[in-house]
Amino acid sequence: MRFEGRAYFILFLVVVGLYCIISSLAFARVQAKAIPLAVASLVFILATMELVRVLRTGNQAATRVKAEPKEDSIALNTQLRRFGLALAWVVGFSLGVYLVGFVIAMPVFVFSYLKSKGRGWLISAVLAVLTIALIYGMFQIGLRSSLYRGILFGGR
Amino acid sequence: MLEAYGQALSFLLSPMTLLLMLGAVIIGLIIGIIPGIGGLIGVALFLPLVFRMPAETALTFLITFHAVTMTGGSISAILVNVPGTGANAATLLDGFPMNQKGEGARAVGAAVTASTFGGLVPCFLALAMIPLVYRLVIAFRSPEMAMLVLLGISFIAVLTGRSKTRGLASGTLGVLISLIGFQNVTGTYRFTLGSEFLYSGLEIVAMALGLFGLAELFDVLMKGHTSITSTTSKQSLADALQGALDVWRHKWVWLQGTIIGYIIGVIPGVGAETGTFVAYGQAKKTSKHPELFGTGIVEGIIAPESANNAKESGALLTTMAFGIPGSAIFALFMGAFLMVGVIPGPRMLVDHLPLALIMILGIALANLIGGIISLLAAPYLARATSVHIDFLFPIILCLIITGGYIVRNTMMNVVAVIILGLLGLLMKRYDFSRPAMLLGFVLGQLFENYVLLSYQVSGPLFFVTPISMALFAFIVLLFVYPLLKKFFRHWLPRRVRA
Repeated sequence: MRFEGRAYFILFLVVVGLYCIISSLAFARVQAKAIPLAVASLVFILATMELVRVLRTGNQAATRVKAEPKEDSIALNTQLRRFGLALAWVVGFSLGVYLVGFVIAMPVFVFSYLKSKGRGWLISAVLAVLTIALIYGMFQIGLRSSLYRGILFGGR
Repeated sequence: MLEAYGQALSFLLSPMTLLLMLGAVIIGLIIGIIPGIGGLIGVALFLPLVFRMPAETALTFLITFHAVTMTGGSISAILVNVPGTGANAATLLDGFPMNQKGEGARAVGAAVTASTFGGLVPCFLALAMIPLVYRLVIAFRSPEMAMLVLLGISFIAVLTGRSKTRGLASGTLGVLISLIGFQNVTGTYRFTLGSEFLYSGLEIVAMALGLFGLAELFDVLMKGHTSITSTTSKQSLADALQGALDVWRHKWVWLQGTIIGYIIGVIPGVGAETGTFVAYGQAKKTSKHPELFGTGIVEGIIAPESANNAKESGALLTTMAFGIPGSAIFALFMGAFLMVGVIPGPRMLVDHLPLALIMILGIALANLIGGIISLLAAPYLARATSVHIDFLFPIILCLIITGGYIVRNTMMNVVAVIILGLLGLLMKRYDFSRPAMLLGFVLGQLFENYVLLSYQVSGPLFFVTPISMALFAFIVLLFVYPLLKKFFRHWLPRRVRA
């Protein structure tokens, strides 16, 4: 019986279900607690059933998701490295937006991403400008919806 | 009556109105394609622009714009797995797999055609069915609404994927997430973890952007794919036209979806998302090959797309004829009516009949114009998804993050989208059903509201009404029917033989 990726995820769902059961019990009125308690109990029961099944049948067999030979052939480490890199870009871009706003962060992100992938200066710059022009034109000018200006420039 | 029709048609077919509608159709399609905005935000943002226009012009612009946003939303759902509007969430279940198989143009062609005719035909039904609709709307009170939503929730069982336990766990988790936030009935904050942001709960747009859009981007990058589609076949207008012909080939699926969408549209407060998922679930239930749903088949696109556009005529009718907004967006339309000096309600069909006809026929015309434009553009849009992921990743990510921000104008929503993206990725990797979760999320809060309201009004036996019981019997039948079918096909003949 070994805990691996899938089992950890299901365990997380079990914990979420348990937390919601305990939280529901603390709600003062029956109308507030009835449905959350029933639904959280269902999540807990179903997740526990699945966890038991996964641990009994063996994690390895259960982790064999959709038969996709190409995917299986990619080493887990490679996949995790790629995921880490993608997540870093997503978080980095969001952090950039939070700090300096969409108008600055967006072209900088598009340009640096394309450059990091070995694309040319011109195509990277053109795509960066086009992306911000599209988003700015659509939201700020067309729909008069203000894009976030960034915490450093007075955004809240 | 005929005079009113004449007035409505002469207004709609005048060159200036057609030009205005063309502009509104193009803007509506673009807004629909861009994830995170959708018709609701679009109409809200355009309200200040149109309130100085004459009533006919302002309302024609708004209804035309809104009528095609869902057609646009289906395009992004199919091509990049990001539903443009919440109502397109069911479309991506088969639309995106079709695109991955190199059938993007065909899928868009089918979606656009199903949407166009799904929006067109019910307009004429709307005109003919006013007396019947009145009785239906009056008959549906909160107990019946609760049962109707429960019927929607029961379709989680249809969307579970390969494992019933994992599917049901996903669906119930979706219901649980929908309960996050402030509960009006009791004034209780639930599962907010002390965060002010969670007081108003999570948005369906954030759920769709995270669970599907961002999760899919992560997945493509992890697998090292070079583009969103796995094939590089060249797609042409013929492929899109083949998709259009598919709708004719599966006309019963289309008709079923259109009827479901129209009826759900007529009943206030149920929402387009319910209609599309019910239509999808019903198409799967009645299909000869239900196991293929979710793998990229055209019926899985036709059913929800016909339902989401058909809903609009029904909802507009309820709003105009009874002064009851059929959905959140039609609550905005009620505001627009009042802004231009028209009071919606039964008198509207008497005092402003030409205007009412302009709006209903306007939906029909908008769907037609939008359908033709989208069909012609389908092959070019489909080819765009075979562009190298290096170019698509930053652009799609910009749209997802901006869409996440714009819905609530707070960066916390972006954080929510990222967290939901990670959850979506894990669910995909470990084979938990994301559509079931989304359906649970859409209907969970609605179900609780109607149950509590019914309980307060009618006591614990609130569900004992003829319509509620009939709906409940239908729900039971949905679960019992497959078992009965199995029983009569396999077990009974064996016993008889023995």
